[in-house]
Amino acid sequence: MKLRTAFRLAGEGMANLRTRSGMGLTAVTIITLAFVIQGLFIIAFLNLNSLDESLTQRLQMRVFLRDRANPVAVGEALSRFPEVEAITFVGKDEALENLRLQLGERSDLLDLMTENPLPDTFVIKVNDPYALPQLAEQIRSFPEVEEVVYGQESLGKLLDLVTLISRFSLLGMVVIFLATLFIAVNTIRLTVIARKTEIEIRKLVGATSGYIRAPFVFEGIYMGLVSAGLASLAGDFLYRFLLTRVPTALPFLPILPREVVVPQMVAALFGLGLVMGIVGSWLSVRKYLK
Amino acid sequence: MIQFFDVSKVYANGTVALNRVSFQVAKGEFVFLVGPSGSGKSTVLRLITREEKPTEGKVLINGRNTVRLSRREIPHLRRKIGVVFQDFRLLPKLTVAQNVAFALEVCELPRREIKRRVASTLELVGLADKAGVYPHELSGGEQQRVSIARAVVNNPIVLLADEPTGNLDPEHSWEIVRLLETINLRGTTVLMATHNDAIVNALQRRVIAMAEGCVVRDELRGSYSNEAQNSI
Repeated sequence: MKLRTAFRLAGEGMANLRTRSGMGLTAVTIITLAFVIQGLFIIAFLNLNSLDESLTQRLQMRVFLRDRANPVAVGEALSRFPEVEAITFVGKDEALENLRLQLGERSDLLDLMTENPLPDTFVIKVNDPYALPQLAEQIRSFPEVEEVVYGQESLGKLLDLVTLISRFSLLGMVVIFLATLFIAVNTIRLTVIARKTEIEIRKLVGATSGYIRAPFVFEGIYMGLVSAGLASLAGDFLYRFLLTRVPTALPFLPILPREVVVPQMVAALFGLGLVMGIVGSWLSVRKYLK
Repeated sequence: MIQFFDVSKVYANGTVALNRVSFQVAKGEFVFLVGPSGSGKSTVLRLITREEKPTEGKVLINGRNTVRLSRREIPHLRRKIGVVFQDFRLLPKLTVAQNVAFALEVCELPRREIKRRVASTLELVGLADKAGVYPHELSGGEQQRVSIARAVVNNPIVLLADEPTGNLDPEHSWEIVRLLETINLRGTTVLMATHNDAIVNALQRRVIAMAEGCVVRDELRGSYSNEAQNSI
């Protein structure tokens, strides 16, 4: 299709919306509301995911070795456990350096020491939080191991809960998307029915399917993008509100900054709006193209 | 140009619309397709435009088997075929010129070319002075001329007319038929399905008569019915 034709058909899509502006306005309002809910799900999903990640990171086990133990042999033995996902070795010199960085200005305290008191350490990530206590018990029995330290078991339960909620929000997003698609299909179908004769004549004079479909696809895209834009504004407003309240009301709940969440939400809403418009119009014209 | 080989068409509801129909129409012919309602005339036209596929047999247009056309090729076939209906099928919100241009816009011709061809086609059908008028302001005969203009503006090789005079009084009917003859003289093959015996008998053109889905008569200089011929 030529660009000029595309422009003309895009204008036709706009005219379609305008001639049925009442219907279009109703549809856009409902889709916008649905997208605001969609935005809330996205906000929840992003925050839960980051919470999930930070919790997972805490599911580590630290294995401190005795002096003069051979780290290579121990490392090999540790990696043989099926629950172990990743192992990082932190040598005693590196550990000291880390400590120095953590102490910052007071790092000169370390200069008082004549030798490095820190042990060689393995940081172990496990794939199953419930395996932690048992695994720790086994590793503790190694003669080369001085001590094993790990996060609490309750963390694992919390993690499960977070994962569950984030899956639910994903499901919610899918359901809302299907609902908006349904609204879009039915709104566009009304235009399609109103222009049935035109579609028939276009088919007879040799219009390609793409040509016949184009005005409706544009109509759908306009509805999707306008709704996404309005919902983005509302979502940004809501998130800013949340940022002022959540840290004081629920101080233990980490919440991502606006710069991280809002752009992703806006991108997702526009993406969904676009897909909704294209798929929705596609579905509503399909029957009349056969 | 148009070739039907043993074409049968059975619709999904079991109706047998065509039963082993064979005929050929050469380039430049003017053919009347006659027969009672439900004899299969419209199905023949719908098979030519590939709105329907034959259940059996082959339909060739310009040497190409329509069944073998891909979805992408069908629009290009239709650009070579002009169609006129009994009910005109004009778009009420578009002017005469816009209705005619409708068929060219689909082919994505440059705007200047569209303007030029619309003007010359309106000239041909005698409506050059009505370009900016809306269909409801025209008489039935004029509306049908607009729809003929839309059908031929793209210089089709075939013009199909499905009862083009069905909604018109005799005087306007004759206008339309003369216009179709003019178009035929310019080289376009014309296939006209009709119930209008007066016109068929007067013109003495080739007649293909159908009954119950079969071709029952195909005469080079035919008349509307056998009786009419016998009486001559």
